[in-house]
This record gives sequence, structure tokens and C-alpha cells, in this order.
Amino acid sequence: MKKFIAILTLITVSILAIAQDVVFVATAPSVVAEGEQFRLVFEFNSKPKSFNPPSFDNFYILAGPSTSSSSSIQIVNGQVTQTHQFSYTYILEASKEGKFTINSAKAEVNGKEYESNPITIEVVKGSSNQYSAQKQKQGPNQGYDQKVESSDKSSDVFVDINFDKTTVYRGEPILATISIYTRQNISGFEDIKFPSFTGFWSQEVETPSDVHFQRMNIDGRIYNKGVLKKYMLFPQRSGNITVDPFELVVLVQERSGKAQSIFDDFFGAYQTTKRRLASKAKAIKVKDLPLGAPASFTGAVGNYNLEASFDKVKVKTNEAVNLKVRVAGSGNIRLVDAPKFTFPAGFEVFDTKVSDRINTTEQGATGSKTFEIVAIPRGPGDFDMGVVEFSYFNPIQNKYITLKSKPLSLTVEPDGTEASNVQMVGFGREDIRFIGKDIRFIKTDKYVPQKRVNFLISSNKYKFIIVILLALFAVAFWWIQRRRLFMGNIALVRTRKAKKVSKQRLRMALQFLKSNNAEQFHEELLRALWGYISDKLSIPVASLSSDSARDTLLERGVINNDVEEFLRIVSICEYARYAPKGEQSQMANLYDSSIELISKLEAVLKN
Amino acid sequence: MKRIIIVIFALTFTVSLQASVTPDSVLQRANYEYIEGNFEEAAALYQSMVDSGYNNTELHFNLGNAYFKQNKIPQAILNYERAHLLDASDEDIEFNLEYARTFTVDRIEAVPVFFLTKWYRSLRSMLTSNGWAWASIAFVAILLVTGLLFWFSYRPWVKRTTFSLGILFILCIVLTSVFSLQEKGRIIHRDKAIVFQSVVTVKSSPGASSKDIFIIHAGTKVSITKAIGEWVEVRIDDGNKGWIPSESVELI
Repeated sequence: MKKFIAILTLITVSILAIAQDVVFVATAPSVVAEGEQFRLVFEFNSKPKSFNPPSFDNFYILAGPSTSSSSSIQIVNGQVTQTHQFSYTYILEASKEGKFTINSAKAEVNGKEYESNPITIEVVKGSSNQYSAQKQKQGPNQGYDQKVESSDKSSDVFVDINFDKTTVYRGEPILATISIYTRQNISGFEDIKFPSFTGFWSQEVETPSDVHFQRMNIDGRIYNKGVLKKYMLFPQRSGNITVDPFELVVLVQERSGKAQSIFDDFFGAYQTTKRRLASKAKAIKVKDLPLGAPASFTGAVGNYNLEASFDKVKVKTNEAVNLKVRVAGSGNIRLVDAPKFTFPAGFEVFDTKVSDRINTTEQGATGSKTFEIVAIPRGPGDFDMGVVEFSYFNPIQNKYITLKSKPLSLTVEPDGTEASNVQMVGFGREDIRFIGKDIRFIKTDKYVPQKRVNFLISSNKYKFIIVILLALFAVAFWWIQRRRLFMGNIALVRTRKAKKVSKQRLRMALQFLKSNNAEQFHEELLRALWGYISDKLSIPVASLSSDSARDTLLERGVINNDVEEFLRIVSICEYARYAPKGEQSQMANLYDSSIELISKLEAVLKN
Repeated sequence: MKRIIIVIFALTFTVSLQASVTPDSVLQRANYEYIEGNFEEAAALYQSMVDSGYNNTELHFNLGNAYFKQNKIPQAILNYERAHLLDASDEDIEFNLEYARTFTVDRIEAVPVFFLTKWYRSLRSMLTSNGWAWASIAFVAILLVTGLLFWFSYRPWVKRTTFSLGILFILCIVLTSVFSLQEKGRIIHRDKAIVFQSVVTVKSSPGASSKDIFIIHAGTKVSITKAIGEWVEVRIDDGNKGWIPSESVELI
């Protein structure tokens, strides 16, 4: 089975093009002792085509380059992720004291050239005596001696970081245990360098201050294992995160002399030596949370429950009310944000107060976080505020879970100062806040679908309308003109016919004269005179009087004598109309002078 | 046997359904689909109307919206532009067009237009071609009435006023007719196009082997100034010109 997986891995590796960025790193201890052996490792995350090492001046190459490669493939939810590791390892020995830089190595990967980082190594004066002694002491099971020991399990003392999980979701807690394994007596620790846990939010789990050792079997050998520290780690980003090695100096009590015989326990003297140990760098694979997070998800991972309630059911206007939202459970509870909750309009909301009670144990961080939101209702009413929603990701069930609190409702009673509230509303006016932008909605009004646009300007309809307008204009023009002419004619005709009309009247007056009807005669004479004046001057009879007639006649150029004559005849006629009896000769005289007067006036008023 | 009957029945039913499809019912269904959030169906229905030759402002606007909601920005812009062409005074169209343009890649600094030209264009776009035509008819009517007043009035001040008004109205008639003709020309003479290909290299001359000048992206509006075979010469708003394959743009 194992073989099969290995083959499968190899095939996949060879098939899949290396898509990820090529990383090419050189690692070596930064400080070594003179004459000390150390490893210089060039690491790739993909197979190099060629490798061109730098020159190692000031160092002796004791062994190498030895190559090693490893690759792993992981299929999570159908997503294939793979990691490769190729490394060239040199075992070097520093020959001189001082600070030396090993230049970068060059390698060709996928037709591109890459360079590693240059490495600066400080070589300090080493105690060669001690070194040789140690070499003797430690016997043949130590392949090479070095101050910083990699935690391979063949050594007598090593440290290690263990994780309870190596593949986690982002935010899912990991328990990291830093332990020391020893086959020798340890008298103490010095210079402990805990990892920085970059990429994690770490929290120390309380452990007993004194290290308690337990015997355990590792690869057939008995070691004492002591737990130094425990950490709860919460990954903050996804990807492969490498945890830095853990380093410390351990004071080991070792027997001087050969440790082959049990009698040496009695005869051999113990000697305390300092040994610097480092754990292996370990990688943790952090998966991104799956897609499809609910809207109320803010990054909580673990297992939680939710409670939300108001401290009062009934409040008065302008009285503060407290909404308490309590999230309890285990997971990355310290990073849990307040669930989103919006108060209805008319509530003044203040900052949220957060308090928590969280214990970090080996099972993860458990406890509760309480969010207290203070709000002041500014107007009375019954408010249904819906529910508080809180979503979290459960890594065990591998799904998002949304919790809902009980429905919240609040009754706000008036407190009698509502009049001032009106002003409050005015005081609190603010600009409209835009919370989103989108296109405007479609046009839903009914319209007649048209195949093409009809242009009125170039259509016959347009010309037709213009022609119609012009025709209307012409008709109106003609009509007004005609009417004007007609109106004008009436006056003209009258003027022209004035003499004729007066003559007819005078003829009638003559008949009355012959029949000696004085009253009728005078009346007819008056009518003839007034009618003539009226027609000739285009003044209605009704608006004529002796004075206005005189003025108008004088104005029209009639001489004074004639005007006086006209007025005399008129006054005689008026007088004679009501006189009992008139003289025949006098009437004939009057008739003659009237005819004479009209012909005189006619001569003047003709034009 | 039963199955066959059912199939036949179903077929007849669909046939009868299809027979009853009218333009109005298609539009109503499209609007319904849009409101329900099925933008693809809505766009397909609107598009079928456009493809069968209907050419309404509202239709293009709604189709543009349906495309926009599917994130098909070039298509959305094309349809907004078409709607805008038919009715330049509708502010909804202008708003959506402006908004859709913010999703395009190219930010082209337009050559500044002389302010009088700008005023002239905005004045002209206040009414459609037909609107201006009706306005000119109205001015002709008013002019004739003024003419009658001028002709038949005895009072000197009336004559003076109507004479000046008459000259003003003659100017108005000329202006509105010109506007109407120009608006018509703007719609009939289509020289603007929208880039549909996501990335188009603009060449210095027609032909694939000629030199590349610049690159434009989908959704950008160009003016077509010349066409030779499969190539068109385009000018973008900042005044730059070049040749692109004609299939990479869609005429508004």
C-alpha cells in the first residue's frame, strides 16, 4: 500500500507542472566554533535541473554534496496540493576565526535561473580540547559533533515540537507541545529561545513550572520525556506555515571516560557540559475556510452557543437599555467579533463593551465573551428587533453553523418629554448615507414596441402640417381682410348716400308742406338735417347735440355763417314742432334755406 | 401509447403557447424574470425582441440592465448607448451608462470640448428629433398668428413688437428644424462602436503585420472613421487613431 502511494506520488509529481513559485533557500548556523562541523543545506521546493554551488573559501568540505528529496501530495476536498523538497547538504568545517560570507548558489529550475540567499557565518574560537574530549566521550554513535544539534532521534538528548494536528482550517486551534527527550541527566536549561510562531496567534497553556519527566520508548530506546511548554496556536493565514525551530542550551551531566561499562557509574566522574539543542522546523498546513460563508460569519472557528437578551423588557423614552450578547464555547473565542446587530431608527447606540472570561486549556480556548450594547430609545413604541445572528465554522463537522437568538422585542413607553424629542429629531439630522451603489431599475411602464424610429422632420406628415398651418393662415387673413373692408364700407356708403337720404326726407317734408301739416313737416325737416350731418360726419345721431355738431362742423372746415344757419334752422324746427300753427310762407322759406344749406355743406364736406 | 399521446399533447400545447406569444407578453415576461432575479432569462427575452428588429429606448435600457446584472459589461454598455442614442435626455440611462463605464478597464481622458459646443449639444439633446420637429411646428403656428397681428393692427407699438417677435420666431423655427435634422442624423448615421473583445491591439494600419500602437479593452467606446475590408479605423475619445479588426467591435 505504501509503495503504491509512493508510486502514485511520483507519477503525479512528474505529471503536474510545478506551478508554485520556486523557493531556493540556503540555511546554515549563523555562529559556529572553529574546527566545528556544521551542515549547510540548499533547499528547493522543486527539482533543479542543474546546481552550481558557490566556492567555500575558509571552510573545509568534509562531506557532500549529498542530495535528498521528498515530496508530499495532499488531496483535501478534491483540491490537490503538493510540496516538494530537494536539498543539497554539505558538511563543512570552519578553518579560521572570523566572519565569512558564503555566496549564493545558482540553480536552474524549469529553464530559469535562481539564486539562493548568501549566508554569513561567524566563526568563533572554539575550545578544541573540549571538542576533542567530547568527541571521545560521545563515542561512535554520534556521526558528527556539533554545537547545535539537529533533533535527530539518534542523539542522547533532543528537543521536539509536537502538534496535535498538522492540517487545520484557518482559525482552528492547534496544541503545540515543546518537549525534551533525554537519555542523560539534565541539570538545567539556559538561553531558551521559544519559537516566534509567525503566522499564528499563540497563547501559552499553563503547565507545571517544574519539568516532569516520563519514561518512554522511542525506536527501541528508553528516553525521558519532559514537557517544557504548551501553546495554543490559532493560524491567522492559510498556506504552509513553518514553525521556527525551538532552541535551548541544556546542561547535561555526562560521565567522563568511557561509558561502556556499568562500573563506570562508580568510578567515573560526572562532568556538566553545555549543549545547544534545536528542534526541527515543522510545517503546518493551514487550509482556507470553505466557500459559502453566511453573511453573519466574522471568522469564528470552533463550537459555540449564543444568548442575547435585553436587561429590561419595558423602558421609558431616553432611558438606557442594555443588549447583552453572550457567545460561549471553545475555539478561537478571543478573536470572535461582536455579532452584527442594528437597532431600529430612533435608537441612539453607543459603543459596545466587551468582556470575556476565557481559559486556555489543552482542549483549546474555552469560555465566554459578552458584548454589551447600550442604546437609548428616543421615541416611544413597540419595537420588534428581530434576532441576533452569529455564524461560526465547525471544523469537526466541516460546515458553517448559524446561531439565532430568541426574538428580541422592547416596549418603549413615553416619559412625558416627547415635546423635546421633536427637537431632538431636528438636532439629529444628517446627510443620507449611501451604503451601496447599483444601476437604476428597468423601465416597467408600458410602451409600444416599435420596429424603427419614425422621424417626423423628414416625413410627409411634417410637410402636411406646415401646409395646413399656412392654409389656415391664408383663410384667416382673407376673412379678416374682408370683414375689415365690409366694416369700412358701411360708413363710406352712408357718407356717400347722405345727400340722397336727406333729399328723400326733404321731398317728404315738401309733401307735408303742401298738405299744410306743420308738425310732420318740421319733424321731417329736422330728421333730414340731423341725418345728413350724422351720416356725413360718421357720428351716430344719438350722440349728436347742437354744440358737438357745431364743433365738428367747424373742425371740418365749414364756415361760421353756415354753421349758424344750420343751428338757426334746427332751433326754428324744434320750436315750430310744438308751436300751435305756422305760417305757410315761413315753412316754404325754411324748406328753401334747408336745401340751400345742405348743398353748401355738401360742397365743403364732399371729400 | 399513452406516452405518445402525452408527448403529442405537450407538443400541441407548446405550439399553441408559442402562437399566443405577442411582443407585449414577451416584454412582460422579461420584466418579470428580471424582477425575480433571473437575469439570464430576462436578457434572452429582451435580446430576442431586439433581434426581431424592435428598437425602443426602454427595451435597450432594460436589456442593458439585464446584461449588467450578469456582469457582461460590454453588452450592457452597448445597449445603454443604444438607448441613450434614442433618448439622450433620459437621466436613468445616463446614470446607468456612467456607472457601467466605471467597470471598464480603459480610462480615457477625453479631449476637452469647447464649452459652446458642449452647451449646443446639451441643448440639442434636451428633446428628441421628433420633439424638435413638433417644436418647429409650434413655432410656425405662433409665427403665423404673430403675422396676422402685425398685418391687421393699427397701433404702432403692436406692429413694432410683433415684427421683432416674428423675426425671433423665424430664428426659432430654423433652429428647431436644424436640431431635429441633426438629432435624426445622429441616430441614422451610426459611427460609434463598443469594443467587445477583452483586449484589442490597435495597429497603425490595416493588416495583422502592421505595428502595434496601443491596447484597448472591452467596453471602450470608439468612433469608426474608416473601413477597409475586415479592418476599421477607430478614434478613441482622447483623439488617438488606429486600425482594429472589425469583428472586435459592435456598432451602437
